[in-house]
Amino acid sequence: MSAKIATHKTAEDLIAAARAIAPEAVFSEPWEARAFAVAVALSETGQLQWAEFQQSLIDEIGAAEKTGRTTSGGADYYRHWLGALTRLLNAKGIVGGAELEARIADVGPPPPSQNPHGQDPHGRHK
Amino acid sequence: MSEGHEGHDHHDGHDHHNAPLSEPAQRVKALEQLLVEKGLVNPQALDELIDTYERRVGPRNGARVVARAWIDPEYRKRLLDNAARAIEELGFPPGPQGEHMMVLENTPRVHNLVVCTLCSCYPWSVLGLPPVWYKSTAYRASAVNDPRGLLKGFGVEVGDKEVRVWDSSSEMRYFVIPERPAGTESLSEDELADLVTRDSMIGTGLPKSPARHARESRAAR
Repeated sequence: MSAKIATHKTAEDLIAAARAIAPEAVFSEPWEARAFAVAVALSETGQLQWAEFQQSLIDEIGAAEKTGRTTSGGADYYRHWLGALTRLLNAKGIVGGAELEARIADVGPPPPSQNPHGQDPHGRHK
Repeated sequence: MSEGHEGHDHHDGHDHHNAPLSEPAQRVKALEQLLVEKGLVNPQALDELIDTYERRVGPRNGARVVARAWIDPEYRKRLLDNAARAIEELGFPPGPQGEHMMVLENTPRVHNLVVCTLCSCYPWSVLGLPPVWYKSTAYRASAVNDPRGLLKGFGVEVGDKEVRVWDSSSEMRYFVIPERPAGTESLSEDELADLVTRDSMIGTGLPKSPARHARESRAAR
């Protein structure tokens, strides 16, 4: 294990905290479900092999934990999932990194400075 | 948490943003759009997958497998021999994470505990998707470093039983058949399945006693 838990109590506290996040819910935000489904769908159609996705996910989580960044298992875990997926799709030439970044700029809301109305009054925090 | 997203969700790229999307939500949306345009994913297929794993596949499947194994020694034998096939017998296809599966029997002398130390491998076809804590660094590390302390944290007393920790991988998923609780001789298969909790099939819990189940059902009503 690359991740070291300093004391027994700390591990228990961290697990208790992780158990409190969402005792039953499978996804905490809709994007997690989409990211999950995209990976499974691509494996079902053979665009990627599940084992290679798994390896990409292991690399992603391992790299974070090696530098001491732990995951609570919630949204931060699905960030790793998404990172693993986009990295693999880029490596396989299915969706290039530049192509993805360009599209993100298209779908994203304009930054506040370019928005004449300032902050969206209905804006919610994540 | 964002809720109530249905009803004003668009897939056409002409959204009016009522709420700014979070950074990962933007990434996923962009990725999905590109894959749809390339003809590699179908948005309806994604909706169906989500519905399947949010609602249809879950620990109720595993509970049925355990209850059958408790009452039918022949089924138990088939389950130990070829878990994926015996699980499919009950109508639960293996799916992407269930092709290589092994069941672990708890006995009066052995308690089994399942973890995935490197990521989050989990027997989806019988348990659905893993709970948040299963994916946490803390659980994945302490299952290996201090399994007895971890079990205590989950309120599981194993006494002097041997604790065996099983590390799941893409080659093999594990799933625990807990010991059948005492005083359940007269229960039906359905009633037995009601006693089998998700955690009891991971090894971080035990099945409910009939008394506890009755208490909880009364409280839920």
